[in-house]
Amino acid sequence: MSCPTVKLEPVGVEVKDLHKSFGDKKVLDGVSFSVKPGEIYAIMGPSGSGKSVILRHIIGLMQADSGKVLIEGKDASDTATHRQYVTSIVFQDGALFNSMSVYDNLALYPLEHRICDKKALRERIERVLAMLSLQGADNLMPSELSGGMKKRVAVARALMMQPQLLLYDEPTSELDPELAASTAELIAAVRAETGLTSIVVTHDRELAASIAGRVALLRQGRIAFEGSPAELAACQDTAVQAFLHPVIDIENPRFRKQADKVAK
Amino acid sequence: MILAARNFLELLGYSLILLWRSLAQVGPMFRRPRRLLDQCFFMGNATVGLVILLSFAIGAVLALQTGYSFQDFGAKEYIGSIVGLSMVRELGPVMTAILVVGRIGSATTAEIASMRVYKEVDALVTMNIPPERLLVTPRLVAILFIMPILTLMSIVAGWAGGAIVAHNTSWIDLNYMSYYNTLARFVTDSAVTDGILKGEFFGVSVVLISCAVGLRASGGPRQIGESVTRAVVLSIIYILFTDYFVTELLLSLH
Repeated sequence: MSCPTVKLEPVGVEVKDLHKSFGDKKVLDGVSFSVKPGEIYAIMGPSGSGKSVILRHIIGLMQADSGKVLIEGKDASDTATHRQYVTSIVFQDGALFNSMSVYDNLALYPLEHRICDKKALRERIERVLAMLSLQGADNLMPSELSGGMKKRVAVARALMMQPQLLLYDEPTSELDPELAASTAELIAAVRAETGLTSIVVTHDRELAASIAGRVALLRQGRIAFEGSPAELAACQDTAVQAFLHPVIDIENPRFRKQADKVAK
Repeated sequence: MILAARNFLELLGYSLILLWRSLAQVGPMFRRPRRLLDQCFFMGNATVGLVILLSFAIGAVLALQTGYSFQDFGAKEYIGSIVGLSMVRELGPVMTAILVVGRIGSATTAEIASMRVYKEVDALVTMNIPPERLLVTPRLVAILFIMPILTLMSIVAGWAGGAIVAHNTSWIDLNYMSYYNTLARFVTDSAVTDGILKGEFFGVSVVLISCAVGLRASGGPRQIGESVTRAVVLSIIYILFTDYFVTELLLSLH
């Protein structure tokens, strides 16, 4: 058994009228959008607007209250769908296996699914690590990695699965501007090399503007805007503008306005 | 009270489902036997010293108490049988199980709850790797191998503690041969088998409860600590509560 590089067709994703509440708090209130095979689709929105919740529905970690998520027309909440189509996610904090070295983190999927023999696996891991500028990191433990390295190892682990759909949850959060730019380049490069479908949840306007084919803006549990990055930049909607270009008003800060509103 | 009972029943149901799922992973787990060996080493290494030390102390105290109670009746020869049977049928398996809760159960819950809170378990699920294969099955199989060894060590250490105290306490002064003779007369093979079976039952239950509590953890770092406390308390209550029924079942089989 060698370690075959399989190029599978990218898959399309369709989210239909998705509703999700946690207790009394309604997080998703009828979210619908579709992502074409091979596209980079960015979902933006304020903190707590439910962006990550959408990703958890797509990857099958969460059940919707109502509505559907379909991957190539198959129900994403069904584990069989994720066995038929290879889907993967890069978690916000990496979710690396802390008791395993970087090498073992990357080797886990191919070994458990008996895709590679050990010699071919080492070659593939070295190739993926080199692609992400992580040469020599294979024997390090996750606790020895910097924030940026953790993100890249998480991407590397996802790439070891050779996914048809790759989800990124806040890939540039906690990174300095240069590393954030590098991560954006990485997402675009991975998509260019593999052709996979990518859905990126982010706050990062630069990232969305530079690499996404389309951008959705989530606000109060609904899609407030969907279009190309150029259309987003030109959008005159006040809510969209307030999110994209927030004005820092030291004289009249937001927290005071909110406190006044509550007092009234 | 009603909420606590409901939570307990939910956990019990989840533990049974977990056991079923874990049994399905026994075959795939043996493809990577290293995980099993690591668990066996950890479980043995973590508990063996403590089991021997505490069982020795319990056997010693038991001999002292029995010797004191029996001295008026001139029945000190029976110290061997009392210590022998108590250690085999009750104290050996139960004390070993309680030490397993403290050393293995708590560590198991802490590790799995931490993996759950930091989304490592979610990562396994998204990789189409059943978490039971890595986290539960190796531990269950390891405790099956380790628990009889620990129980036997506990029993023998308790016997030894009793023998040394019975021989060296001036007002008991029972020689080793008399101690051994009464012990051997009353401790039958079936008593030893019962003790080992009891130990196996408690060991598997403790590991299962610890894994189940860990896998149901959610929230942040504080919940990891809460999960460990919960697993330890539940396991000890479970051991002490089911001990009666397991004992009755084993005795009724003779």
